[in-house]
Amino acid sequence: MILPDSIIVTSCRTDEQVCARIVNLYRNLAQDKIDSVWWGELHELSGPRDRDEPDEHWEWAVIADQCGVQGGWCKGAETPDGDIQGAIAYTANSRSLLEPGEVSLYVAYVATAPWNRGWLVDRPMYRGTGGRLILHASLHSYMLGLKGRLRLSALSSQNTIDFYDSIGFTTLDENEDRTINMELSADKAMAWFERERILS
Amino acid sequence: MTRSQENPNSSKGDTLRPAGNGWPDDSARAYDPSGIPQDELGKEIETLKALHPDLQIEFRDLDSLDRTGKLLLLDQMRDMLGIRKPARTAI
Repeated sequence: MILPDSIIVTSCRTDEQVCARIVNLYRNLAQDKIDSVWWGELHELSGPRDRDEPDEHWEWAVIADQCGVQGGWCKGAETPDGDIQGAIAYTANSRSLLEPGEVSLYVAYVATAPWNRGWLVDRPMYRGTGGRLILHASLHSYMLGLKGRLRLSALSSQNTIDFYDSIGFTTLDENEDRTINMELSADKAMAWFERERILS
Repeated sequence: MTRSQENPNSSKGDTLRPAGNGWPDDSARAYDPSGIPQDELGKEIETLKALHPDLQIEFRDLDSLDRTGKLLLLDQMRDMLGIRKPARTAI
């Protein structure tokens, strides 16, 4: 086993736990299952909105290509109905800011499907996808000998920062475009694995 | 949500060099028309070796190993690094 092949998400409608298979996203799959689907279906569900979501312009087909070129990974969580509930892209070429001299995985992109966002739709489909994808990336970091370290640049909304803070990320500094550098340290990652009883 | 703010090739000084320093040579990786790398296990092994260049393990021709051989090699490398196995397949 390279890595656990599924994440567990929760149906907002039945509270049942559902296994979502981790699939490697390459250009065609990302195009067919995300770029051609996510935002079109949202328009049907919610009608016109005041403003676009920050990730609405992301092209996952391009992100998947970029990941391939950089030797990184682009993955999606696919529920049994065949829908991709969330996606993540990360590379293994970042230096830790909390632990100088150490290497970290860098999460370049992560997003949950629009129909899972409670602020966009009245009845979201699944919850927990984003957090579980982050956990998957952290576990991949561990399996690559990077002790679970993750770095990312978070959008500067308080909700986003609170989300990463609740997982254990440390807020570092602000970039010129106001995104926030955050990092999950090896200690915090290992504590997360222990809580989840992930390792044998 | 996050957005990529970092060019791994930038001069910010906080990223690794992506080529010529043990990082897998992407130009050598085989892609099919949909962009799918042929060998995820091989990629994992190469990445692990690139991230831990001091690891005392030799493998010359990864392509000559079948899936079982690659899994054994990966397990061996992880054992040498003290990496524990996941306890389950769904997290």
